[in-house]
Amino acid sequence: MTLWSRIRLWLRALLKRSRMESDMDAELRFHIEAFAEDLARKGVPREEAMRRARIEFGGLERAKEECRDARGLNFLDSLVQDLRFGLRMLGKSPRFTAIVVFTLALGTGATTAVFSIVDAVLLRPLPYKGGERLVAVWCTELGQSGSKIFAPYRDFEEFKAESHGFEELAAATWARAGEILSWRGSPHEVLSIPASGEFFSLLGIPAAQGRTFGPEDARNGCTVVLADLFWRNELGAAPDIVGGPLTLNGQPCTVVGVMPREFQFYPKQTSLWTLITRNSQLTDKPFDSAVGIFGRLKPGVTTARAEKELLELHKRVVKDSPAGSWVEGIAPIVRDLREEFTWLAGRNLHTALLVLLTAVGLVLLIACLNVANLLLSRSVERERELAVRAALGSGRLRLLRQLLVESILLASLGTMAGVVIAVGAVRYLSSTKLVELPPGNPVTVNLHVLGFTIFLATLTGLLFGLAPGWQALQIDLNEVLKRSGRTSTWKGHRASKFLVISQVALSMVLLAGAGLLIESVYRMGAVPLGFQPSHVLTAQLALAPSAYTDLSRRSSFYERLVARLDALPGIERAALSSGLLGFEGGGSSRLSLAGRAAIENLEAVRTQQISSGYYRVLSIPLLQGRQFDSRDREDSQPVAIVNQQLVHRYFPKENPIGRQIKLGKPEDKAPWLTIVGVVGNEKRATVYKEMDYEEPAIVYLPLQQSSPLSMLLVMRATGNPLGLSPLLQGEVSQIDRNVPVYGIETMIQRDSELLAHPRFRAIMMGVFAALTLLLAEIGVYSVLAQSVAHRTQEIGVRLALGAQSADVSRLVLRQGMGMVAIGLIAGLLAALGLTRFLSAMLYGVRATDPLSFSAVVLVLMSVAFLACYIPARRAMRVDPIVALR
Amino acid sequence: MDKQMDLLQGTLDMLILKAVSLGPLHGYGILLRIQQISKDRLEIQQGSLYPALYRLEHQGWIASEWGESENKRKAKYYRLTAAGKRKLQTEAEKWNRMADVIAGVLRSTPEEV
Repeated sequence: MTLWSRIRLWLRALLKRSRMESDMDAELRFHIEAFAEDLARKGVPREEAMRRARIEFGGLERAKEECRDARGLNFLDSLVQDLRFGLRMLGKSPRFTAIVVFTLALGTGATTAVFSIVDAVLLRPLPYKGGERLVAVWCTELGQSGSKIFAPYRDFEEFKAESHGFEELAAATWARAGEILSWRGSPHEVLSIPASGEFFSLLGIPAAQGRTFGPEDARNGCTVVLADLFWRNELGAAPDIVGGPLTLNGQPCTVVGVMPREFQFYPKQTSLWTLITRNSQLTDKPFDSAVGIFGRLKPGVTTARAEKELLELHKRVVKDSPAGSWVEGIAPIVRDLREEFTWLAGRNLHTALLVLLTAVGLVLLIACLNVANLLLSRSVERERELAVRAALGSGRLRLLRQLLVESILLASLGTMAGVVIAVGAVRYLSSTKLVELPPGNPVTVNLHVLGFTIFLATLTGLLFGLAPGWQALQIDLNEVLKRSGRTSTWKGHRASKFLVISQVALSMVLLAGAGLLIESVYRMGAVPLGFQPSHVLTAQLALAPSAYTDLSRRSSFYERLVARLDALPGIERAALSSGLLGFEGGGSSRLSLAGRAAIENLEAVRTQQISSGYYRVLSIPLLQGRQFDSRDREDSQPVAIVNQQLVHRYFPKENPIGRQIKLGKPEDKAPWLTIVGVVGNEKRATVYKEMDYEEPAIVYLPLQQSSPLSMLLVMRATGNPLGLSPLLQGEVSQIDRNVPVYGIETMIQRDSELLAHPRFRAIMMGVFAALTLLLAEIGVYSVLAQSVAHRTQEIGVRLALGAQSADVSRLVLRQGMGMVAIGLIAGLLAALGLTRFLSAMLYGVRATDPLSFSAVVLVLMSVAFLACYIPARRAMRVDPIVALR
Repeated sequence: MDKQMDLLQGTLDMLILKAVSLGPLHGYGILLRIQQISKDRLEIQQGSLYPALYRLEHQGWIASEWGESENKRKAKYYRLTAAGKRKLQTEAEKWNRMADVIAGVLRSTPEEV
């Protein structure tokens, strides 16, 4: 018989099920009647003949069942039956179903949401050509392990021409401040990324409109490709933009294309890419300008091999470089691009995501344990039903399957609800931009993620279905059927206890982790930064280089602006600064002290140009000497103010006022600066470590003597600082219409951005820990409540024999808190072992901080006590007369 | 042998095929036919007859259709299919070979070993 005809027969059997059923009935009836007739013919009375015929035939129902089995119908059939029965059972106890589905939905929903981030950030290759072979080439400063800086442009030229390990190499740099783009007469602050001609072909992404850079552009002046977001939001999605002219920093440029909407590269907020041409700043000073280098490795080439090759090439560059160049002190390193994107988005993002995934996995596990517990107690209630079914001839395996089908049904319902939760959570996350995520793959609940979720659902269904199923296999028919319906041996108890203890332990682990992370954020946020951030508004502004070529024009613009703002009623005081407080990174330079040799290899000395009101706006204390004032002019003696850190490092036990310093070597052309004042330190975020501050040595210079084109405006407001923001552009435009103001934020907002990642993961951990705490306590409560219900008679006897109600409640409390204590100790030990994986994410606390751990234990204990107290009270109120009747 | 023998495992199928090979029969008829040709020496559990019939039909060795019985009642008749005929042949050969071998083994005397 061919497979097809077999399937046909089977399908026919399936479709004509009722016909077959009646046929089978008729056939068997015929058999018995024919047999009876034969007996009757031999002289047996009719009634007796029928009876004997039936007895001879044996179990009719069993024969039928075996016939159905023989036709292969039974499996599917009984599955449908199980499903129907399962649905009916779940429908009968809607409260139970709702609790289980809700618990599972929370667990799978949270897990799916976190996994969709992990999938986008850590698992899927970048959505570029040969995404898994893309690398970033940075340079590391020798002697400073872990440092990553851009490479000299000369390295890029050398690598591109001479290396063999790469299919393609491109350069791009984002180490620059805001620039101004003018289009149809209005200025826009833009983040423009100079990129080499190979940039887009390396990534293999064509433009959505027009084209990307081509070889013909190399000869032209300035060529740009726009990012979709910028074109849409800032240029109003102008349809005629391609080929059109616009001005970038006063220079005419041609737009050759607009990238597709989904295209992203680092930094995500890039507005446009400009082509690096032959006579740009980068190519003119290839040793002094820095770029990021990106490449696609040839198949089979490892990053280590590529790094080795580039190191050799870099040595040639060093040989060609002018003596004493910074190029000597660095070496190229090759890193996986996706990893670097993740690192750039958040220093601890990779670890944090893995920690969160583990945490949410534990939440799901605890949810499963809870559901297992609920099912277990239900299966105790259903013991009788199951026993009756077993007695009537249901196979044990069939019963097990029935229970598993119910579990899987619950898991599916929970998962469906969970996916809805996950989609909502992911939408919320991507719309609010709570944290910066790396460019590349968008975070979505895609098929990949759904596959994972379905896998989870099956796993959870089996996990929490097995315990009660196993329990069902153990049923002793005689025992159960003999008993009256009221009492039952509470056999599930030991299993339930074990589940609850595990829950408490897991919950303890998560609570400990959350406690440490939350405390870290709190401590890091509470550290005094050396300035007063409240009531301070900040904004960026940028001057076009073509219009502000000389220093005096710039400083006169700045002076007029500060004067205007100072006169505004809502502003107490305004000032300007070149640096972004708390954010400035990198930029070390040599420092020389008059009368001493230059200090080489010093830790970063930062320079910051400020207007005179700066310290007053930020309430940075002046410790010695004076502030900048009207005496400091372009042509007066060059002066500087230094901070305490610099004094501490280079003028210990000396009076620094009046001493002279130079930024550079003594023989450099730069002027000697006379120190006129000393101020307090400011704390700043570090570049390579997330949970840390540094207090760099800073040299402040007066704006009148050195002023850059791009400045940070800081203002102390009398009222709500954000109330000032609508006024700012107007005030600036009064002086120059072409100067854009952007990035308006309060200082508090800026500070909180610094803690965005730590806060995000602390909140997530906190939510997960709270969930597990809730679930674990529900577990404790339900086991105790059940046990009290089952022991009602026993309690009644105790009370009748003279036990006090306090004794009874102590009995229950001891039982409950005993479980909690075991779980707590197990969890504490696990937590002590596990929290060290968090150490990079902690600030001000050790991974085994006793205070933090005690607080967590206290929280868990008090919530657990509450969970135990309610059943204990119920036990106390047992009326012995009712219980014993 | 007067006593009725229990069926050897797996032989019921073969007996059913043999019974219907002599002409279409209904279930009860098959039972009677087997008892008749075995001269009542084989005991067949009536309950296990029908599952066997359904299995054989499912495997395509017998086919069934509704007809009228001797006493004018509706009954389901089974007949052997071509595949069933071949199956019966191979099964019978296998059985005979097996019986010969077993018989030979049992006949052997100490000297022959």
